[in-house]
Amino acid sequence: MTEPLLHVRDLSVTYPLRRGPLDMMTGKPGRLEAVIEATFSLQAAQTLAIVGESGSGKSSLGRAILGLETIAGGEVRFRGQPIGPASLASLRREAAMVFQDPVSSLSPRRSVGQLIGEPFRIHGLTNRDVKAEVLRLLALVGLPGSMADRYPHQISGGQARRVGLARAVALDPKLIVADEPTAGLDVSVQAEVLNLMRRLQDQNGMAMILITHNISLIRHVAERIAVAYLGRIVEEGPAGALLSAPAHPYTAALIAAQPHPDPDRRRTAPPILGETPSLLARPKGCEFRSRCPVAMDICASQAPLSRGDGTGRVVRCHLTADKETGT
Amino acid sequence: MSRDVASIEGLSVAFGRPPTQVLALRSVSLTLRAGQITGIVGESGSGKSTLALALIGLLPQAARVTEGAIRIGNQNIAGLPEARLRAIRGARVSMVFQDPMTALSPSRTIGGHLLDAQHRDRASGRSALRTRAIEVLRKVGVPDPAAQLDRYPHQLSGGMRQRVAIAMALLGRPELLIADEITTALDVTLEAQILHLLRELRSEIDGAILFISHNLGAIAEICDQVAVFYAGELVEEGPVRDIFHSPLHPYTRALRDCDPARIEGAARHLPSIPGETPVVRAPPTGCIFAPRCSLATELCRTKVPVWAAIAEGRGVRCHLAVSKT
Repeated sequence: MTEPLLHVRDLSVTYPLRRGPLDMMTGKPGRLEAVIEATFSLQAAQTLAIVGESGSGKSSLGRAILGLETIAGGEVRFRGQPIGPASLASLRREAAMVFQDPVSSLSPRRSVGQLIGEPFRIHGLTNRDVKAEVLRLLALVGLPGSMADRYPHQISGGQARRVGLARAVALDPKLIVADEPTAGLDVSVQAEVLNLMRRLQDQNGMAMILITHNISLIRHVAERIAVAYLGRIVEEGPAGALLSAPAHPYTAALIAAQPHPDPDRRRTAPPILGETPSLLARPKGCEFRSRCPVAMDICASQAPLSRGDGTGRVVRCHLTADKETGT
Repeated sequence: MSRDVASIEGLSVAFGRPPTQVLALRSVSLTLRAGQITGIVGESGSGKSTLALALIGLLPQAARVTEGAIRIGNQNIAGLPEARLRAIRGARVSMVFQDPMTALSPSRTIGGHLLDAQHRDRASGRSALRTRAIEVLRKVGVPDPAAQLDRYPHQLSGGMRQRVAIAMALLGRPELLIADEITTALDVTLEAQILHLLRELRSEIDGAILFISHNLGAIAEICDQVAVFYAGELVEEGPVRDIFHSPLHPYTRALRDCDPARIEGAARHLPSIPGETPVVRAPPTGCIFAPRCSLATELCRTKVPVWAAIAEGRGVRCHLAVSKT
């Protein structure tokens, strides 16, 4: 295997918490652990979906990869180079973010043309014909050239996503991190945005990290999937295999929780009960055990380790560890 | 067939005045029956939320009912003064919103909310109201309900807040419970639990549930009857299996087909509906879906299709579907 485009190893992201004297006495932790020891790699032109619910750390993870969060532990290597203060400028030329809320991530005072031209100015590429580049990029994302004179409040949600994508691909990046690129869009428009992302990927050969809570759409866009729960990647592997035969009980629950648009396939009971615990009240042992339908004694006393199964899948669960050793 | 709880008859609602007016609902007729969950499917701009607000008498000032009736039982509530609407809201019709904090005051305890919601029964005494509050909290799946009464909304998780909002809506023993995108902001594992709860409530409350969602999976999961809205019109209605297995309107079919959850294998190219939902400012001169419809003919572009009732609770507004049946 060639050297991966992106290699993330034991990456942790924490946020400081404000504590009063009372909080110290009651043992409120001083830091919130949003991402704990995430490890995965991504090859060029590949798409990895990071899927999880609220509090899974999926957005913090995506932002940390692009140097938008301080890394508390571990490292991110992009094209073999560790990312850090020295390499941020070049990283951001080659890797771009598509933000979750398209309208609030676009400055209301700038026209669409100015917004799409911004990456060229920021990276000092003013020798290029920025106006021509803007028109090229608008056409690339399926928007008319006349859109360049509009302002963010004058365009629809779907159009704003396209503008966000045009900005992201402006400098021909090697990697795009897209945080919920279709959240809040109507289903008929969502498909158009996803198709556009696929087409851009085919043309530019860029890799993508797609951060989403929607497991039903990832099978169509991702080659690999990482499932996050309470800041940990609990399962990671090839999309098809992971979806058809999930190894981690949480992955299985996520898949089963998705309602099927067919009244003949109704479920008789919800697949799992309860809600994701607070990040400040992380269960001991395995983080998922408080909701796990198949939890065992060991899950409460001992944290499972991430183990590869030899087929490119990594699972963090005592149950699969048992199966491997045949006990 | 079970009792009619509410019915919309030829309802049209406009916002603002010409020429900038928006014809948010046009000639919509729909009947909601006891013991049934009716699902309203529609994308942004379909008029589904306007319909919900009309049913609970909460249309904003800028909205006008230009024709038709909104009947709760036998009473037409269209144009009723606020004082009379108050007697209906919370008692005969209640509503749960996408964000439970819409219904919850941050400075009031859960118990305070649940007692307020029973203000019509205050004659029965505080301890009876408290007992009933605990009973309803238990019914909606809130663990240790008595202990929750003293807590504030911010001390509860998002899922628990939504359960409390549902409990508040149930306390008035409504004939019609409107649930407007109540699972949209929830995590998927939690959504499954709330959907299951609604299905349980369906057989417990002596009334109808109107479930509004853009999520076809959620609609298929719990609804008995489904109404599909597009750009302010009811384009198709039918029993849930008919809508998902043999849709008549091209929009219903296209919407169903672009749900990624329905496509089994990995599709590199997902089906979509090109174009955008129009904002309707003047009465349409053809089928409102024609500009986005892959099957549209000259007839569709020049003549407005009328509602064709095919059977009890089954109908469609489409030139092509009618000529086929």
